[in-house]
Amino acid sequence: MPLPKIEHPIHEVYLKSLDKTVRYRPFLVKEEKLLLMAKESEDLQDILKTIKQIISNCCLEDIDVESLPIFDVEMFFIHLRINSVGETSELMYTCAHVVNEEPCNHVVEFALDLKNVKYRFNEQHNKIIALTKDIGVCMKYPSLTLPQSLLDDKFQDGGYEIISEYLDYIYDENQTYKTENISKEELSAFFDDLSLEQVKAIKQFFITTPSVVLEQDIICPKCSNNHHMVLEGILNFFE
Amino acid sequence: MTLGYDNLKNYYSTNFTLMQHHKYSLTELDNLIPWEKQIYVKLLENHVKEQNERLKLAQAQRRR
Repeated sequence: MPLPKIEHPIHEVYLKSLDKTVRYRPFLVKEEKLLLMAKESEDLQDILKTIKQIISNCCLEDIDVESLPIFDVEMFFIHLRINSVGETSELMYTCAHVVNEEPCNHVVEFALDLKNVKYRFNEQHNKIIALTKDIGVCMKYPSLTLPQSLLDDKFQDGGYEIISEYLDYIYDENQTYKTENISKEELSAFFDDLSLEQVKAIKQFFITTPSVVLEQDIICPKCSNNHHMVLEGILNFFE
Repeated sequence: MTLGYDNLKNYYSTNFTLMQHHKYSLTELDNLIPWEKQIYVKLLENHVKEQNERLKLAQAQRRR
C-alpha cells in the first residue's frame, strides 16, 4: 500500500516563454533554509543553483528549469515567494529628493506589494532576426545556467561569443542550421561576414528581451516627494 | 526581501526554541509552509505573553 501523501495547496503561474500556465506548490520551510544558506554564501552560482532547485522541486509540471528564460524564472520565483512567505515585502528606501539644496535623506519604510509583478515586453522584440532577405538567425533567451565561457570571462572577440551562446539556429531559404551542429570556426566566419547593422540587429534582441518588474509609488513622509520605485532582477531578492 | 527571517542564525534559533520548549519536531517544522510557521510563531508569542501576564497578575494578587 502506498504511503499517504502530504497535500499542499496548488497555485498557478503563467510563463511567457512557454505560453502556458504551470501548477506549483509553495516551497516549504526546509526549502526556505536552502535559500537562506545560498543568501549567506553570497556566491552567485550557489544562489542560482538553489533557485533552480527550488523551482524544480515545487513545479508540478514537466518543465526544463535549466533552459527556462531568466524572466520566466523571476516570474515563477516571485509567485513562489508570494504563496510561500507572503504577498508583501518590507523594504527601506533613502529619499534622495533635494530640498533647499540638501538631500532629504529620510529613510522610508514601505511594504512592497509583490502582486504588482508584471512582464515588461517590448513590442519590437523578436527572437527571429532577418539579416538579409533569405538569411537570418533565431536566438534563445538567456537562462540561469550561465555558459562556462561567460563564467571564465573569456570574451575577447567583440561579444560574438556571447551572441553565439544564445544563438539557437541560422536559417536560409533552404534549411535551418542548429548551432550545436556548427563548428566554432564556421560560426566565427559567419559572424565575421556580418555588417555592423546586422550585428546591431542581433544585439537588439538582448536589449529588448522581456523582463519582470515590480513598480510601486512611495511618498516620503518628510518631504512629501513621490518616488516611483522600479525593481528588476532576481538578485534584488537576495539583498 | 525574500524570506521571513533575516538570517540563518535566527532560523536555527527559532527552530531550536520551538523544539526545545514547545514540543515541535524538526520534521513537522520542515514540512510547514513558511507563512504557516510565521503564524504559529506569532500565535505562540501571543500565548507566552498572555501566560506571563497571567502569572504576573497571580503573583501580584498573592503578594497583597
